[in-house]
Amino acid sequence: MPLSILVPMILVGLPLVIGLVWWVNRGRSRAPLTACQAKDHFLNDFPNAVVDEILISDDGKNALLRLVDDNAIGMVHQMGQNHLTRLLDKSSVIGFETRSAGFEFRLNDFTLKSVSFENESLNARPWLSGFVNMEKN
Amino acid sequence: MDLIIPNFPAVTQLAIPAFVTLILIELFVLRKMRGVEGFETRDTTTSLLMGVGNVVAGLIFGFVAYGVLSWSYEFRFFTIGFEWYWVLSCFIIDDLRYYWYHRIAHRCRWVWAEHVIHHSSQHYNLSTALRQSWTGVFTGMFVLRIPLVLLGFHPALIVFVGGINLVYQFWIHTEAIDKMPKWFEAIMNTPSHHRVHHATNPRYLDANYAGTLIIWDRMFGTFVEELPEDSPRYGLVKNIGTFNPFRVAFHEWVDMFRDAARPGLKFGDRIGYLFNPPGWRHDVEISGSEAIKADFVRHNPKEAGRPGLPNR
Repeated sequence: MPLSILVPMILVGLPLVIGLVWWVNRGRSRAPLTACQAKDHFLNDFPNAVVDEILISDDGKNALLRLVDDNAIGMVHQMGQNHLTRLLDKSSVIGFETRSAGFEFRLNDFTLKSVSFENESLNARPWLSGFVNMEKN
Repeated sequence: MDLIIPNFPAVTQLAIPAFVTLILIELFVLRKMRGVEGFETRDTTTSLLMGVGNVVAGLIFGFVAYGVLSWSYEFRFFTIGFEWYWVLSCFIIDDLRYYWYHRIAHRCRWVWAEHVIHHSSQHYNLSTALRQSWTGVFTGMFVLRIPLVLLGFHPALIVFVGGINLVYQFWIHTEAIDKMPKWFEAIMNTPSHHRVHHATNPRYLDANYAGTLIIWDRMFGTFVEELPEDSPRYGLVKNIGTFNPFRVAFHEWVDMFRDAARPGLKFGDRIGYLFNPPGWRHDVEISGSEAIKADFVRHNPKEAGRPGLPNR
């Protein structure tokens, strides 16, 4: 097909589809993640994990899961309308930055470079502080 | 006698207006008639940009594959014409070629590195069909078409029927259609069969590789039926965390070479990370989809031996 036809077809078709998808979805907001949902998502991907405690971020977009295995923590991260899960250990967390009400993980992950996690009660969670300190060392 | 080569149309490009129209129809069917969140703006944008990138990559690098096929054609055993029955024969044999390409793409990480892009959306809609690789030529899998060339099918015909096969596969990327009539489900690849292929539920992993005809999966033992009690969850076993088309296009290549270049590995392990099935690890006995299926059966013993799952 000549480029003179192919290019205009793409230039019209793409914005048309994207614009209509945006229009259909406008004003729709995602419900915040609940602990139960976070656990379900995580256990779907890591059925052998034993979850001890779940922390949901204040914005409801992320969850951190304390596991019986102390060497790793679970994470559920909102990705658009869906969620993805990660098992975070020494090799996958390459750094973090402490913030007023939480911190930001920097990950050794080409598609998910960092995740911010803010939760007012974060400092009260010794298991998470322990993991953070372990990673720092 | 010299063959007169017909001027075959570029079917995938000609189908673009139909693709756009059908996506819009699906969007409104799902939203207005069923109230389902079938599409997401960023996900759809990424899928469409991957599709455009695939067309561009095809225009730039396609000549490599076509050149190899044209050169191979000089060594053909027979000369086959372009009558309708040869076109049909070529389509069926090429569909078998597609089945094996697709099966290899899921079982060899070198090829998975390009094919994974098509599976990287957690949505399953017609735009997902257009989420295609930019790096297909680099895997070298076009060599699977050489046997057809050596049989005597002209490369232009092979490319044409391959295009028809891809256009056929477009409409099966939808949740808007439940099941087709039984006779159709028995022979042809359908939305239901292909939903299984895109699902990450343990029983559905590594199943239903068909392009157009599902008979190949039935023949080679890779067919798994979609079960109403186990709705497909789409995407990857380890879903990606980006909508950036460049990261989507290259993420598995990066991960693969990172794994193979890790310090302390034996040479065989490095090769294993390049060519063994996705998820393979050098330090465990069972890994990848086999491990996921085994775990599932361990947690759900009653499911052992059902289609797509091991006996124990």
